[in-house]
Amino acid sequence: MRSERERETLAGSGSGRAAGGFSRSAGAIIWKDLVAELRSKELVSAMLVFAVIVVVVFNFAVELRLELARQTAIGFLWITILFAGMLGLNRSLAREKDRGCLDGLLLAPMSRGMIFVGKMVGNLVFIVAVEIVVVPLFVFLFAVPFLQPGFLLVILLGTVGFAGVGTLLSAMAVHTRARDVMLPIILLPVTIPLVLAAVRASRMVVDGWAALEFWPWAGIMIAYDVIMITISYLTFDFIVEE
Amino acid sequence: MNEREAQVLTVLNWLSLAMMAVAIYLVFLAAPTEVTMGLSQRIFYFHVGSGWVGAAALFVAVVAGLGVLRTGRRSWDRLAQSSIAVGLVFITMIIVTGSIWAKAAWNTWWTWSPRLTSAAVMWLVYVAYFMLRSAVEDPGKRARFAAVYGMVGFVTVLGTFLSIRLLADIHPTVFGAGAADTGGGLASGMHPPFFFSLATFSVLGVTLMWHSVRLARLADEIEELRIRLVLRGR
Amino acid sequence: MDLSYMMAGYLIIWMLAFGFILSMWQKSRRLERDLEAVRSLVEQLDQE
Repeated sequence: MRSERERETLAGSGSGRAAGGFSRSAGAIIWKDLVAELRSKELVSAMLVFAVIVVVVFNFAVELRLELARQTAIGFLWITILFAGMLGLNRSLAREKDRGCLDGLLLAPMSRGMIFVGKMVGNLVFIVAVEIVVVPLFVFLFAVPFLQPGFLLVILLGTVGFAGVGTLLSAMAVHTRARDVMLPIILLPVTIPLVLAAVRASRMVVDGWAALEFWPWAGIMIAYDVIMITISYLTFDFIVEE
Repeated sequence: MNEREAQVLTVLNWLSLAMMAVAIYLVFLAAPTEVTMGLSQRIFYFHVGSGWVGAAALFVAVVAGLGVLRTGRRSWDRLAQSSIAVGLVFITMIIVTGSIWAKAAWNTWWTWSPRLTSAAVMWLVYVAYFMLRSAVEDPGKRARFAAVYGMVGFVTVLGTFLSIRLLADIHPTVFGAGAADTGGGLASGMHPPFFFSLATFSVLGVTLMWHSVRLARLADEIEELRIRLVLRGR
Repeated sequence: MDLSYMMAGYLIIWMLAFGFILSMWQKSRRLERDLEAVRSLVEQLDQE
């Protein structure tokens, strides 16, 4: 049975030496999620389809004039990432809970914090996979100069923070009654400072590069990421315990 | 509820009432009229007072949340819940008064100043807090989830406030004239009503929180009694 | 015009504060009723 196999894998890797065992157990979780996804492809495909639909609908919902296109496209991109991301977060943890994998993981000899890291990186990979398609799509449809290192860095920083808080909060949401509705309600307000900073840091897309504008906001994003991921790592145990 | 608590609460009730009366007097009659804004500037005294207490309530909730995670005791959870409830009331106050102030001062119903934006974020997070609480059945889980979410919310609000405040000078046009909002330059004649209003709101906040915690405790005790009775009745 | 803004501001504050107090008072009444119900249950059981 699935959880049996997982437990064996995890027990095998978790019994290694302290330092190595740490990252190996998280790695095992990541690997399991990736392999499962590669086989079924249900998560990323759903997120991708959703993201593309959102982009197309936005295109019709808001008439993008060329001068405004760059400014608003940044916002659209983030909305797309946020909503497609939440779809993935929901399903990722719902799947765990429903199949009893979560219980199997909890029995494994590894710290809950490591489970968090494993889940978070897994979620991160899925969202980035979607972004790899969506960002070029934006360039293609709206002729916005998204493919520059500064902007891509901003996207990455934002996605990391989003995956961090998102994993923690989706673990909460999955235990509630109105599961799918709860995640947007509790996650979106918390991402406001992140999105705020990301949009401000993305100025180079509109005005060209200006280090004085970029680094402060990028710094805030980094601070957000570090603080949120630390809190999530430390408190994941309390969320997931029975 | 024991005797001493009843006494303290009565004192707090009367103190709140009395201080509010004095504060009203100070604000409406004793405070000097502001040069540019006239009468509507007087909103400021209560506006800032309610904002500070709302933010303090959020901080209390973080501490209470830590208490929940550490000890697992229901008393910490009651404190967290009550402080956020009271905090929500005060944040609603600051949003509404801030909006009225914005209309009076700059002829716009809303402005993305640091204080108002943080208040809006705080409001959304707190409302989400209560939605989360109501959706979790197990009381132990509910307390823990709420504790963690309270901390996450605190970081969010703090982050929003600091980032807009610190970096406002980079894009001055976006944030509009917020001199009074950021508390710059208070005339000395305005100090008494301002600080007294602050004190009044603090006392009011504590009073409301105490009552709220007491009610929550009573509800818990009654529920416990009822369960014991039902078991015994069988 | 000025006056109406100020009055509106203070009115809102008091309405919110009173609204909260009112809701707590209602909760207190409800709890008292529950307490009575529990008390009568205790008496019932004692009589048996």
